[in-house]
Amino acid sequence: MKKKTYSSLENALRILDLFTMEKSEYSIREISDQLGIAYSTAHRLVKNLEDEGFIVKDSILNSYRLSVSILSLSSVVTAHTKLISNSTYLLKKLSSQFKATVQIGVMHREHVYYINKTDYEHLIMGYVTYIERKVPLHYTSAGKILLSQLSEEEIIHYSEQYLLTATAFSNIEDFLDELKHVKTNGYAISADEHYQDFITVAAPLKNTSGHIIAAIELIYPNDAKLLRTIEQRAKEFKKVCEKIRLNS
Amino acid sequence: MNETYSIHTIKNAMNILKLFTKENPEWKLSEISKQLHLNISTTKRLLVTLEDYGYILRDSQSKRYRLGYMFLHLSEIITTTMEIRKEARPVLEELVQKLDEAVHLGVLEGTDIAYLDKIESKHPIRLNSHIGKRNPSYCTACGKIMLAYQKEEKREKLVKKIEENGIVRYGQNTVASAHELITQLKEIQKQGFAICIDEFYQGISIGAPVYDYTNDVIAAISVTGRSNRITKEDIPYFTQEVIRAAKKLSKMLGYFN
Repeated sequence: MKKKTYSSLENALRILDLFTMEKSEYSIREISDQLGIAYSTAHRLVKNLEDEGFIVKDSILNSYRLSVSILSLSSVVTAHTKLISNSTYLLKKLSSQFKATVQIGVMHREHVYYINKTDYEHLIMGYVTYIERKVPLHYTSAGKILLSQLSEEEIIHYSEQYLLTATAFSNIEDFLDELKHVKTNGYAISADEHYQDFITVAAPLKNTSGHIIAAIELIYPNDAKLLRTIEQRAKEFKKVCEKIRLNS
Repeated sequence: MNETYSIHTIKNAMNILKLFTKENPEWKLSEISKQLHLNISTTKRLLVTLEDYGYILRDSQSKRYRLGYMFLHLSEIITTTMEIRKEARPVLEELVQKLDEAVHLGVLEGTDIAYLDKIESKHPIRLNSHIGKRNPSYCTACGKIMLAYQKEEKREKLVKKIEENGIVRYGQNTVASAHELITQLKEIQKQGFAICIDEFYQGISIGAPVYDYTNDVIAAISVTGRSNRITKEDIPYFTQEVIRAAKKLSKMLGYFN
């Protein structure tokens, strides 16, 4: 396989990309291993990011974590993304109607970003798995909805680039088939794929001019009984979502 | 690759991100390039990379840039993994109800204090603090608490660094020297709270330490208000309530002492 070379800025951004809910601290050694860059390079990039206030060193553990300063930038995003403020009421309504945690996802490059969420407390309680805000498109049902809107060419391009890591699809053809179904059905279901603890159901969300701008996703704890009736629930959910026009 | 060139690249890219604020959430390519004294092609190249990684979005109609969804992802990691924020919320809410002045939860980042959370009073006033904001530690109550309760070796290092970076007189009572700062920090550690009057612009802030189960001070709680709202006579009561809140939170975090 051809090895991609990254610029310094790209490597700096790849460092920020390493942090997750499960692993929120990294040593320089770990960073250099994970990114396949020299220790000295990792060290220099980490210092740059630290100087700029994006990461901080934990003096006790001698490792680095994301800086609290990032919260001020995320608050700018929250304050100025209409889709976030305009979807809060809708998500609450859907959450109580479908008795699920509900989130709204938008696509950027090869990821779905979940920009707003309403928890359905009783169901999620006791589950330790965190739901990340940024997930590769083919991992989740919202991602599949968004992918299915792309042209066939774009879908094939995506599959060739990113599907190698997928476990659920033995080959690209299976995946393309599933996306075709998703598009005809108007909903997507994921169970036991990348979030083993959850069953998710997603449908497209349109804006006031009728364009699909996002996907809405229901999240349930994985449960055999629910799994048997999930198709029916997905159809109901799709019907509800079809009627919605959200101002963005 | 040329070393200085790449350092500037990262610095310039991060400076682009920092341009975006609640007041100025959208920027044009030409405005960014002008503001940061970068030529258009350099600016464009940085923006393309930042957009690829989700830090920037470009509105195809208005041709303006805004911050990308990647920040939501990163902030979720910060707020979820820093559990203290979740634990502290009810304690801060109770404190703001009692005192009706803005309360903060601060942690140390480098030599700065960074606000992990803030709750406004019912009469919000313009303070130089918001969630995620970094302020100098040597002239804020949360900051002084965090400095005072470091292990001696670490504290010396921090004070030395503060001195090297230069102590700025933000208010009429800001400490003038590292020596004065150390004397104050020792006093703060002895008494268990910090009071700053007109040290960071005008106003009074009172802070107390939050411990966790390891017996380390991991954060500080403070209340801040203008001098015309918190009078000298109020100080003992405010101090007592801030200490009480900090103790309550410490207990929730597993501190027994």
